[in-house]
Amino acid sequence: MKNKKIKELILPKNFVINSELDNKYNEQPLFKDKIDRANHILKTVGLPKFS
Amino acid sequence: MLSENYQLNISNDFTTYEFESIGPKGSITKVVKYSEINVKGYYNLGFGDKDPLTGYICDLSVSNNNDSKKVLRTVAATLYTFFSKNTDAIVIATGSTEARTRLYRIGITNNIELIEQDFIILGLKDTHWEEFKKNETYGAFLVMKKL
Repeated sequence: MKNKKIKELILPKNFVINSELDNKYNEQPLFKDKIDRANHILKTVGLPKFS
Repeated sequence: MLSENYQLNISNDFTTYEFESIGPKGSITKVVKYSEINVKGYYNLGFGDKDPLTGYICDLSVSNNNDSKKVLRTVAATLYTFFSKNTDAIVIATGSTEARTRLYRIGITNNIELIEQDFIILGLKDTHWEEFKKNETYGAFLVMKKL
């Protein structure tokens, strides 16, 4: 009941929790090139300073 | 903004999303994935199409389903739920191609007033991060929820 209330609070009405997605892509590392690029950017450029 | 996006299926940890793009090319499954990278608290925003035959997710597909704005709004909508569970996270987004990075920039520019109500956006300009400005070209974007 508590979990249901939390989900109602933070999920817009057109978002649906689907537990089948929880481990669906574990065997297929998604977007590895982008992850590598992101790691490279942060390593070479550094971390930002948010004001 | 959230009312004009596709319905999304979402994993319990709010890091994996699926939705159906509907258009002249039919129904195309899109996947959005937030993956923590080497720096703790930083997540890559990945987005691509699912191949209906192989199930493989490709972020280089050009689906031409005449709904790019709605798709972009839907991807943007995932930021709200992702940050609702990962309030201190910082999301990095890069396009899979220069054209797609430009598309992201245009999408941010067109909605910057709305976005800046909730998020801080930085752009990667050459070798430094700066506050997002319209009409600038960026190589990547960082998004953080305003506290």
